[in-house]
Amino acid sequence: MQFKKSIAIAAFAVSAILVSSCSRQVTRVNPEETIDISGNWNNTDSRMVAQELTNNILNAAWLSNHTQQHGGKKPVVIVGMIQNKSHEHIEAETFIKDIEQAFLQTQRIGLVQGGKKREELRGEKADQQTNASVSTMKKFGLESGADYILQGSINSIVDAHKRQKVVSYQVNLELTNIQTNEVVWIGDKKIAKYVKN
Amino acid sequence: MKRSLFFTIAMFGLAVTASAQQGSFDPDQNPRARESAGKYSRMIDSLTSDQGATVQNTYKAYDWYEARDTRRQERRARNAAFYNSGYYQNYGYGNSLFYPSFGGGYYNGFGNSFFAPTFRIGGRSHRFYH
Repeated sequence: MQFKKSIAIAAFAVSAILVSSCSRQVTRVNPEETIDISGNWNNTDSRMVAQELTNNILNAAWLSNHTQQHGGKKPVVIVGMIQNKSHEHIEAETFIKDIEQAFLQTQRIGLVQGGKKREELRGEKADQQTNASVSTMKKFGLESGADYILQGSINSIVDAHKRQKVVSYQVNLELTNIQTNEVVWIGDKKIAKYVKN
Repeated sequence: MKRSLFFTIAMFGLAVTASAQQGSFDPDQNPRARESAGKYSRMIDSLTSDQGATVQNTYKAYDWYEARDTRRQERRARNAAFYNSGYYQNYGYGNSLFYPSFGGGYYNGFGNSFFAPTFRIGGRSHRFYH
């Protein structure tokens, strides 16, 4: 009898441990907080890249050169292709959007839409030609042409042996004058991580 | 007579204004704007069909637990397929996949009770691995 009772207590304790270990706990954290779990690319890396490159591009000589050459007119930039050549899935849009936001907040650089969003805009404009009233219809051929295109690449190098790993990321962005093909700015951000399992 | 003349002039003016609004050419407008308008007028439906919708361009993020479960499921499916394929015939010599055998499994068949643990349900003996 005593033996059965102890077995029942043990079974209850084991099941309690199993239930508590299986329950998932979720806590909201500050997005600015650095939490490294796997050593892969994460939000902190994206934020570091955005901060460094935003600061770099807004304080580089190309901006003042452009405003001087164009009578104080601010440059218009279009974001081109960002190539991810690293070993991981990295979404460049997370830091590109931060950079674009900084352009608009400082009001020193203009932005025009590109890619699929631009196609959608033109589709909407085409739709307006046959459906919108004449006074509200938007015309073709009056878009702002970009002065510069922002392109970039993400590269990584992995050096691993047994339980140790060093991962280096390099994010490059470059700004090219669309008229002259001249590269007016190149910025980069390097991040290296040491991971020990 | 005067009235009809006034009406004609008014209608003409209205027509001119309307056509000017519709086909007016801004001095800064791209001279090839009509080409663009023609091109995009053929793609209106496909370009505006996603308006107001969320396009899901998602990707599968790596999750250690999920990856482990997937590996397990794949392994079980592989094993099940193997046992059901007909290539594997268990003659009661034990599971040669899990137990190394000597003499092509023949010997292992006789030594089965020694290598494979058994348990009893309702007075009948069963092997853990079948």
